[in-house]
Amino acid sequence: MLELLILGIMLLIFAMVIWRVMSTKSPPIKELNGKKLLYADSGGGKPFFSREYHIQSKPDLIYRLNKESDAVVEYKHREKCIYPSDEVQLLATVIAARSKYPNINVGYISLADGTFQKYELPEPTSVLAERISLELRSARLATAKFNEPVTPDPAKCNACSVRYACNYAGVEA
Amino acid sequence: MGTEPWVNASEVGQAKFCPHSLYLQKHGFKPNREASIVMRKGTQQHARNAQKAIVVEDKRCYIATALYGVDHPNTIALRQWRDTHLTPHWWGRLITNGYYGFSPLLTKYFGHTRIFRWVAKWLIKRITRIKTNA
Repeated sequence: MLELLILGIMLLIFAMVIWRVMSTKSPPIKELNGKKLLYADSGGGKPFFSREYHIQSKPDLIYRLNKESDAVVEYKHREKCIYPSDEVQLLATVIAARSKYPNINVGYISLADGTFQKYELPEPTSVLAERISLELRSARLATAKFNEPVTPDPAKCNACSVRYACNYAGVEA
Repeated sequence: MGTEPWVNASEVGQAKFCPHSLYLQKHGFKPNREASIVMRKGTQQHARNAQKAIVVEDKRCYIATALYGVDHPNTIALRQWRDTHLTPHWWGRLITNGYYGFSPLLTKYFGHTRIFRWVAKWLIKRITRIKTNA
C-alpha cells in the first residue's frame, strides 16, 4: 500500500515536471532568447501614453536588446500574412511606448505559426508619426464620429467584422 | 497635435484597414459572431504569450538567491547561464523545472546549515567559472 502511494506521488511529480516543461517554452522569437524582458501585457498593465501625439498603446512585449536598443513585440493571432494595418499599428505602438522606453528602435510582428518580421526603426518619433499621419488623421475622424468617405475593397470588405452594417455599394453581406 | 483627441494604436491600425469600419464600430456596431470568436481567441493567445515570456524571463534561482541575494553578480551569472545554455533545449528546461521543483524545499530545510551553504557555494563558483571561461 505504501509502495503504491510512493509510486503515485512520484508519478504526480513527474507529470508536474513534464507539464511545466511543456508550458515553459522559449519565446517564439528565438533571437530574443535571454534578452531582458522590460514589459509584458499580461492583462492588468498600464498603457503607454504619447502626450505629444495623443496615442496610447499596450504593446505585447518589450525587450532590452542592449544598452542602446529596446524592441517591441506585437503578436498577431493569425498565420502567414502580415498586413499593412499591422505595420501601422506597430509604428503607433512604438510612438506610444517611446514615452517610457525612448531607446525602442526595433519592432517585431510575430504570427501564430511562429514566423515573424523584424523592423528596424531608427528614425526619430516625429518621422514615425509623419509616416502614419494619414492613418492617425483617419482614426481621429472616426473617433470623433465623422464619416470619412472610403473606396470599398472587396478583399477587405469580405474580412470586415461589421460588414453587415456597411452600406457601401458592392459589399456582400 | 496637443489638442487632438486620443486614439489607441489598434484604432490607428484599423483606420489603415478601413476608416469606415472603425467609424461603424465607434457608432456602436458590434463585430459579427465569427469575428468576436476570433478576437476572443486572440485575446487569450496574447495573455498566454505574455505569461510564457514572463515565465521564461523569471528570476527564480532559489539557492543562489538564498546564498547571495537577487542581484548579486553570481546570481545574475547563473541566471544568464540558465537562459543561454539550458532554456533553449528541452533537456535544459527539464533540468531547470526539476530544480525549481525541489530547490525551494532544499533552501527551506537545509539553507541555514553550514555544510549545505559550503557545497552550494562551491558548486555555484564552479558553474560561474565555467561560464566565464566559455
